[in-house]
Amino acid sequence: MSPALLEVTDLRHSYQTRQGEHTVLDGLTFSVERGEFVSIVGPSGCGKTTLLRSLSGLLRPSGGTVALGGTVIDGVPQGLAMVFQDYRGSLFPWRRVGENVEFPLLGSVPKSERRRRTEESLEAVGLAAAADRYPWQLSGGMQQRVAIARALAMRPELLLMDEPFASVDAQTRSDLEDLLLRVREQFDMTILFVTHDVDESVYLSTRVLSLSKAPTVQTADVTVPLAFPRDQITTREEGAFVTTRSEVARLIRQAGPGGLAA
Amino acid sequence: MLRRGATGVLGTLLVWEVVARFDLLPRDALPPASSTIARAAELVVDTTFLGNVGATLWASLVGYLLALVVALPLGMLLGLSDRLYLVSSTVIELLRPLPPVGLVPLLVLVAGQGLEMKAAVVALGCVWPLLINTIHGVHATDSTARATARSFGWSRRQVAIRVVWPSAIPSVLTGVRITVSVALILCVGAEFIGGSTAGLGSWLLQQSMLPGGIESVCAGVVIAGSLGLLINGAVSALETRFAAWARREEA
Ligand SMILES: Nc1ncnc2c1ncn2[C@@H]1O[C@H](COP(=O)(O)OP(=O)(O)OP(=O)(O)O)[C@@H](O)[C@H]1O
Ligand SMILES: [Mg+2]
Repeated sequence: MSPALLEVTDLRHSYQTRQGEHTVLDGLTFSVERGEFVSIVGPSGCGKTTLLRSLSGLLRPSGGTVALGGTVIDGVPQGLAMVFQDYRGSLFPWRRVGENVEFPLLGSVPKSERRRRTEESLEAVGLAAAADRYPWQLSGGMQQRVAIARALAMRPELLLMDEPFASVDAQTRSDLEDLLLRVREQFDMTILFVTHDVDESVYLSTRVLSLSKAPTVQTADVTVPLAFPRDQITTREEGAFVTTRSEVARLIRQAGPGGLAA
Repeated sequence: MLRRGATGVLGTLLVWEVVARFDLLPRDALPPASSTIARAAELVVDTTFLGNVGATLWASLVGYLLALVVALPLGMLLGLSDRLYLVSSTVIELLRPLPPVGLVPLLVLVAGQGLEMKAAVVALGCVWPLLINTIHGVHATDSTARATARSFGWSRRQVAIRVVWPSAIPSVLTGVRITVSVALILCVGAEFIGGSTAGLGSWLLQQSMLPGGIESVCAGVVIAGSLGLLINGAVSALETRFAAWARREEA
């Protein structure tokens, strides 16, 4: 059997602060298979961003290992792209939209291929016409689509997303959710998606992992028994959606004060 | 903008003309605008004068390049590290108030009265604002932007060149705008005080001692001021070209 795409083993992290050591991740073990859409939910400050930064090699965890395709990572691995919550900071304001999408390929992908991928990615997020504009000339939702297009251009096997839709309005948010499900099919990606919104996690995912408050351990691993394609209205009406949603919400509540930790 | 500038210049010239014509200030302290401009027109084709202007421009340029060569890489280095950033900010604030023109006597001893001394004065005067603006620009690079660039799998060096440097450019250009005209002033000042034999400063000093030389002095100052304006215009063009995104973003 081939190894899982992502394998996290006993991942630990403590930040050194003036008050001493602050343990955030206290031994997380889970794996993600190719083709899955896994959401991670957990209370604010539980270490979701810390987890994603460890997985993407931006942060060296204090303990444990992260393996991508069977290889333990040390630094930023190949085959992985990241979408941040703060699209404003994540897009480079001195580069046009097309240049932003092409940017990560600079020096590693030949020019004609760069152009092809840029066009294809912008097309996929419906922004082909905005290639020559600057990111700051676009709305928030459009900017996050540019960030997604840029991730697509990198052709990642695994896409990491850190509360990517937390800063947009509700309508834009459901549009972006559906867009994400579409490009996931089109580009055949595995996605690890951090959110603190239980509804969103169930709507998007094949599986939801829930985390406790820091020092964080994993509290639940819930498979979502819903078929694709999903629909903002009908999927949310299905009995399976409602029961899964309640199950995850209950698990999160148990993990809160007086719950699992007690 | 341009029209308001032109109106301002014409108005100033008019007031100047009136003040001088009606002897509101002594004639030998302020010649009329019209005769000053006539003299300036002669000077811009006068090879001796142009040679002196050339010497000043050359020394300013050498000094300025020296300041850039020091300030840009050093600013990058100091701005990239949080710890160095804190230390260097304090040290620079201490060093900055040292008046470079006050160092001229010392510099004359070390570097003589020519190009080297003048360039050193210019460099000493310009290096601090350039350094400070570079450090701040580099340090202010958005942390998400840096994280994003690293997530592309880029080395720290690549991140510095491709992301940190471009995002610092508006701040660096602000430093350039503050310093370019100061460079000329410092150079002329160094020529005055340092007793240089060539340059606009020494030419002005000679003219001021000739009978009726005040007209030439004023004309020389007007020409120097115009040069400063031209240089400022060039820097503004650079800012429009390379830093427009920083201003547009705030809007
Ligand atoms: N660089 C750092 N130094 C010290 N402590 C940090 C650092 N980054 C994060 N922390 C702390 O670690 C904990 C987890 O932070 P993290 O950002 O990973 O949480 P999160 O789950 O992403 O929260 P949110 O839902 O608010 O985004 C928090 O208590 C935070 O204050
Ligand atoms: Mg977070």
